[in-house]
Amino acid sequence: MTRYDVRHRTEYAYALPVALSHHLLHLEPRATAQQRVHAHGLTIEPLPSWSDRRQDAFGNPARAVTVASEHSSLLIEARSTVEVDVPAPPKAETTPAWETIAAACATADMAGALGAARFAFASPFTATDDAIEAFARESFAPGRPALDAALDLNRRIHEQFAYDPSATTVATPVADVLRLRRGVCQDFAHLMLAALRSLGLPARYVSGYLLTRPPPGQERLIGADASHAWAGFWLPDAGWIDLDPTNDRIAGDEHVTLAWGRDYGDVSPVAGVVYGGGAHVLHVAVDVVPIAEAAEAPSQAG
Amino acid sequence: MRARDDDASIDLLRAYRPSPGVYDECVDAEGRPRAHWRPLLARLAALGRDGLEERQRALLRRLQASGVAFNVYARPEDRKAAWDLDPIPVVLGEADWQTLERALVQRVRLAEGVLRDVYGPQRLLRERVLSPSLVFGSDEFLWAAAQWPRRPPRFVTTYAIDVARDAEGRWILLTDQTDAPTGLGWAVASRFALAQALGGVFLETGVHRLGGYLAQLDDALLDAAGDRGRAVLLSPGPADPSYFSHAFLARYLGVPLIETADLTRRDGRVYLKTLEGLQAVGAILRKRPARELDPLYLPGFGDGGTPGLLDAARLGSLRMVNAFGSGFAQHRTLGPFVEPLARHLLGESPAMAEAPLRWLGDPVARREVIGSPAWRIGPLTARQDPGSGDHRGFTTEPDPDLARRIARDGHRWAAQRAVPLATTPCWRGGRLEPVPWAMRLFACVVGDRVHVLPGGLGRLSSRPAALGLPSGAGSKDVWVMAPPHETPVPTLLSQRMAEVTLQREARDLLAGMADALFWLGRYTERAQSTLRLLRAVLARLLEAGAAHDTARLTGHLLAGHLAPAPDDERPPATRLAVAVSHLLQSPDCVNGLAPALAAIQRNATLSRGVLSQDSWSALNTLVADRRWRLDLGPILAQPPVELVDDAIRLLVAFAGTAAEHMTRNDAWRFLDMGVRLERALQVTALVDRGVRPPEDADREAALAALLEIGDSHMTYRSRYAALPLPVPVLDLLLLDETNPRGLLYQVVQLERVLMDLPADGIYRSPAQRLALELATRLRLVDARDLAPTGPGDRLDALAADVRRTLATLSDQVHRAYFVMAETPTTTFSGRGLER
Repeated sequence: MTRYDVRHRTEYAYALPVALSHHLLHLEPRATAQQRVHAHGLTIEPLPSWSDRRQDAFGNPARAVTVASEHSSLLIEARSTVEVDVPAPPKAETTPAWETIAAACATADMAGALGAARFAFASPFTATDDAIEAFARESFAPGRPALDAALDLNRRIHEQFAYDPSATTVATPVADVLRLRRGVCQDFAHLMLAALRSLGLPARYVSGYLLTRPPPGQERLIGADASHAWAGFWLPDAGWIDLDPTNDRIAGDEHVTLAWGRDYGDVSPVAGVVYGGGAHVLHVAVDVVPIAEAAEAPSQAG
Repeated sequence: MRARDDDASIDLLRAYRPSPGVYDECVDAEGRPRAHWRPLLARLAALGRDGLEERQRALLRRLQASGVAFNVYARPEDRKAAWDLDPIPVVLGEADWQTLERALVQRVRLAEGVLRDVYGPQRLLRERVLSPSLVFGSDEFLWAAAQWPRRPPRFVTTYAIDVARDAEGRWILLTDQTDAPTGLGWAVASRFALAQALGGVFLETGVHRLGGYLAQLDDALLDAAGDRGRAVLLSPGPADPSYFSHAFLARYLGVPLIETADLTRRDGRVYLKTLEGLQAVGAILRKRPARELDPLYLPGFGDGGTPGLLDAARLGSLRMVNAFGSGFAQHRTLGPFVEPLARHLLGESPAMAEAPLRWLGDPVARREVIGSPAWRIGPLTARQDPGSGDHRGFTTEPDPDLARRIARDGHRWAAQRAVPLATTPCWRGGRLEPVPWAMRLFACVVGDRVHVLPGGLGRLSSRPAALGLPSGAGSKDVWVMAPPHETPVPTLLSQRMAEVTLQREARDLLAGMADALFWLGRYTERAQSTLRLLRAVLARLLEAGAAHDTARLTGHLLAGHLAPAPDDERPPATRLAVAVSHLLQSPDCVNGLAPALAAIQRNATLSRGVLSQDSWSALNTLVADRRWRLDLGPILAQPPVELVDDAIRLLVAFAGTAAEHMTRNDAWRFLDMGVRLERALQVTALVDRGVRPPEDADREAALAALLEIGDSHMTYRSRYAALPLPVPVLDLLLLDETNPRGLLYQVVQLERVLMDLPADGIYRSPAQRLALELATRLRLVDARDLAPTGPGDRLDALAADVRRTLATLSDQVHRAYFVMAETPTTTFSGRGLER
């Protein structure tokens, strides 16, 4: 069990004044069986003229904000305190053959399968094609235990793909990621989802943060962290297991969950539409700071 | 009477021979006219062949006047496929109509039931009536509409269904539209045109009128708006093939025709952007697909949309007709499941047979259709508009990868088989001919009652079978025979006329329409200015030949309209010819005709609602002229003099009708402002260049050309009775406040118009101040100081001042009135960049 303070700061500087802007935020960590949210607060400058919090279709807390006065910059800062406690995953070799899961999602004839089936089909950012299906089938031999195969896919993405922020953009199709063999965590998560879904398997996009450790002997740099993304994979009985293809790991106590959906488009931390503004400069800073059990101080967030 | 009816009909039907074995609407298998056709046939026969031909011509004129053909296709080249309405309606009897009505009512209830469930409790999924992949794998299932705490009170308020009678005479459902049904405007416009053309024939035949249905639709819309705000009709815009239909319907219902840029969400509500400020919108009659509505919630579907629109819908301050997400209930998705759905939701069996349709998420269906030439495979999301081309989305040649793709995500695909069509008589080549046909029918819901339009949009097919509503072979009005005792319902139009309250000036001009009028003014003036220049050039060419001095002179003026071409070694005549054709036809020439005409078409279409019929028809004729697109060939051999003359005449006619027939309201002010601003810029540029002819040119000829192009030579001659001299010419074209073609006149007029526009506060707005200052500066200039001496002289400085000030003024007008009409841009925060 680990407790974190998370600070996520997003800043837009616009070349021309913005007359009106709307933003949709997925910045409030989701409460789950494995994550408690102790505190969450949001600061927005200039002050929004309208704001509305609700649950989205996937059960995530979401907030829409509107700034209707002329502004040339926008600052959105979320501070949250969460506690993560992830149970050990099931033994991979003992999970059912993957085909039985695909079949269960096609017909929804297994407990929980209908909920999982919401994530079993291609979405705007996870279009499937022959190459992606072939890539998936290398790990998913007939009859192979589902988690065993998924972990193999997780490992192959980590091994065969280079982390390279300059290779892709937010709009790079997943087919290009597969061809380029490079990208960032979001690309790898999307590739994982597209591959699993090309076989009819349920997999969801998880947006969140990862605790990073400074090199030994060095201090943590403020704002040096970033938002992170990985893929949840559904198993009968065990439920959702989070796999992090960027790091070839099963997500555990060092992964903080914000929200999940079919892909990035459903749960982008900050999505916006602005009137005017011209070119803009974006600055994002994230800090994930573990809180020692002993020094359990009142949260700073607010 | 019966005997006479029969005799007359037989005459018309003498050579009418439907294919054996194919059902015909008009005659039975023995060739005898069906009873419900007899009243019409008798009256048509009485008209005689010549009478019918005359009615057909009258119909064509009606259609052209209504503008129905103007925007069926956005590209003028496609105008040949414009709306083509047959003068013979399709007549449906009471029994047929009851069958159709029952089927429509059932489909509306079914669609509503399905939508309330899939966006809510999802029992149909839990009870396995629908497969998860059909819902969660469908692009028509909109997650942004799922699990709202309060579902919209109604999803499907308007509905359209495409039906055909098959060759055996059974009604068959081809497809339907649940998201944003379109085509009602066409159906009503067709009825208006045909009723007018046929006159007494229509009045005496005893046909159900359409007015009652439109009153119901109006009620449905008012009901949806409630007291939350006004109702509007949202169209994708003039580029949409159905724009005319939207515009016609909006006019008929008396609601503003808008695009997403006219809307804005500020708080929890959506507003219409008018010059007088924001007006709350309570209901949107939506003709724009749901997926292109809100870039905040559905990014990646192209430009436009109103960000945050969905928030208002979710919070209930805005009702969309139809509700967001309704597209999921379309037949192409649910068709194969109608039987179990109808049983499950309504406890009924389907009221109408359907065109064979298979959902390819089902492996059994995949095996059945792949490789079978009878089936057409297409995505579930394909959309179909009348007049948009045949069966969009269904491939005829399955590509080799299709089988693999469909094995992977067959749930996104459907296969359909064409339905053989019944025929109906059409007037072709002076006689009746049997032509295959199908139709679109419309329904709307008020309270709990489903109302069906007693008529429809008939479409003719050039093929004997169809997958969806046919296109390309013309339209049909559909007449449903009314029981003889029915009293006609007054149409909305007459009701509206009775309700009109006296009002001098409506101050709710849409910001987007003000923008369109301003640019319509600018581009019509720019086109006119370029054309006058061309006319002067061509006249001199014809008179004197290209090598002559005057030709070089006008070439010099022309060059001012073009980007400079350095080191052009070609002979002057060639350069001139290239310049002329560039100005006439190049899409990239700033002052050229091609971009101006495109802009005129777009902005005229957008401001159609405030232009008079005559203004509209002048521009319509101008833009539609085929000669713009003809290959000009060597200009100097065949100068397009007539084209230029005709175009100037039409633009002058447009300006004249605008000046004489438009009320002096905000709409006129923005049009006039555009004209003044553009003319001021053009005349200044022309003078600045024209008073500095090439070294060896004839100065007097140069000034004469200037006066001619500036349309001021008559004034000059009457005033000075002398050969043109620089100082009087400069005075007349720039500084004479009484010359309506001169610079100062435009600036003074601009200032006046600006003063009449809505503005904040008691002080002059920045734009008003700029205009007043410029007018004052110009009034203080002495023409004698402007005599050209060389680069950087006073004239140069003045021209630069005018350009700069008017550019700033244009920006200020934009900021004050149009900035809200801008298209928003989408941003994303950073991606996950964690290693």
